[in-house]
Amino acid sequence: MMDEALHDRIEQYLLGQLSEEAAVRLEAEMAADPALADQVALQRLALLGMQRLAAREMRARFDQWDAETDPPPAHNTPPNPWFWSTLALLALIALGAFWYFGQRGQAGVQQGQKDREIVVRDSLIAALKTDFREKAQTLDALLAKQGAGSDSLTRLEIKRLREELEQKDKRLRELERRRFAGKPQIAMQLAPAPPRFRGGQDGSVLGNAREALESGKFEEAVRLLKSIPAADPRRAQVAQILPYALFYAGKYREAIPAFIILWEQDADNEAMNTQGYLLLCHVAEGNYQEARQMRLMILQNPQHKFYKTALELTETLR
Amino acid sequence: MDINTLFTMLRPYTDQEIIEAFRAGGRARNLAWEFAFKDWKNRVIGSIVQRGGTRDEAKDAIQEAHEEFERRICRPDFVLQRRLSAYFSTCVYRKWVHAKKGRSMDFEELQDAHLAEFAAQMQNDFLDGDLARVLDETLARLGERCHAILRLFMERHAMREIAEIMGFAGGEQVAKNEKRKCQERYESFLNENPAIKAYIQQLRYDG
Repeated sequence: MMDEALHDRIEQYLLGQLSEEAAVRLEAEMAADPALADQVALQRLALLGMQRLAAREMRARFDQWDAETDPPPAHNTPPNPWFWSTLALLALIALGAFWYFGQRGQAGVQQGQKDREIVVRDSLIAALKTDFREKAQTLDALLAKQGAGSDSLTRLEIKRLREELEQKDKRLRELERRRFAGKPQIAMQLAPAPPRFRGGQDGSVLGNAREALESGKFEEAVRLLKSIPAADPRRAQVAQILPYALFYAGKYREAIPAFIILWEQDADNEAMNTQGYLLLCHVAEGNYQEARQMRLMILQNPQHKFYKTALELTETLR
Repeated sequence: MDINTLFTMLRPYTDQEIIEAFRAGGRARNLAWEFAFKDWKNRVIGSIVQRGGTRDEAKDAIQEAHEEFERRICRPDFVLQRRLSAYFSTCVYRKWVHAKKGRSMDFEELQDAHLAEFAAQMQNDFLDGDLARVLDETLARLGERCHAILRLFMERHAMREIAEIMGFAGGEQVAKNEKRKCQERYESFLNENPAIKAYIQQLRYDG
């Protein structure tokens, strides 16, 4: 294990961050010390590997941005009657299912809406599968009468469509799973640094909580803040700090009502922050509908503190 | 046009803002790249297609030229003499010419010293070919977590940001230690495998 300071110095040298004077000095040391020269060569190779990691990531990003700005051309395949009949059937069932489920359920009840979407999707797939099964049986009967072989084109087409349907089923389920999975890592990645709150480190519970928050001990901050009784006059200050402590402690579900209360209590000063953090909490929790609404609200104001964050979430919330 | 493009277009960066964002590194740098890529892409691809290249070749050249371009922009002695997009376009064009002609590339008279350096640097490209493959194989021994830490470091995220992204409760110091451990693991691997180390060095300097 080599000296940390020297390791850092070599790294700065290789990244061109050393002053000219310091670089010349290091080069002179390298000339006189082959072991040091070897270490520099080794770190140069390691940096090459690290550059490769960054380049790979950029390549993936370029591909993504390229796809966003340059959608792939539509396929030029001849029209397939099975495809169109499937599509028409799908549309009809979708209409019926949406109408049916639209009669039920209360708009605005988010969980209910998610459940409905899943039920609709499942019912569409089930209906399609039944329809295909019936069609296949009818055709089997007809083909048997006419003596068509097992490699009949119609049979093969039915088989192909059935496989296609099963693949779609699988893909839809995967999409749904991803769609409603929370993304706490993205939320934390986009979150700004925890805010600093006024007030000295006076040894009080509140002061200790502030200190814990600032030093990254978020769980500890939450514990201390929650220990302050509801009737305590410092409760107003607790309401200001607690949402942030909960957020950085990864307790997004608890943080959501805490931010809403803060927003209601101090709309003049806290509106932007609470909107931004609520957006991130909803992303972390997988409440995508709420997250989309919050994102749109933020994007209405280009001066909003979280405007860039909202833009960055476009793809995640699509 | 998707909504993302629309919003990006509504808030264009100036050349100076892009340069500052690149120099700042981290998240600011990534956002500036997204804007630059989307804003410049068609122009850059157009310049290659006009010279007989294909769109795919142009896209490859963009991928391969970006790193050296960014490194040059970040140098303190970089002076912007014309539009940044034009500079990028020329860098990509050089890259494309290099890919087409290989090492027989003719170094033309380049008035811009930075571009001349850029052209020379391309001899050492490591984004494709054997060097890339060997690096990928050796890096695979580090695991995803180390990859993420080292990549974020190379993207010039501050240690505090790396700690936040990776969820290190201990903050900046833990991020620094973790980055160093990952880097030393890679260095130890290279030291323990002198043949691989020598091969990478050879590929590196052979270009």
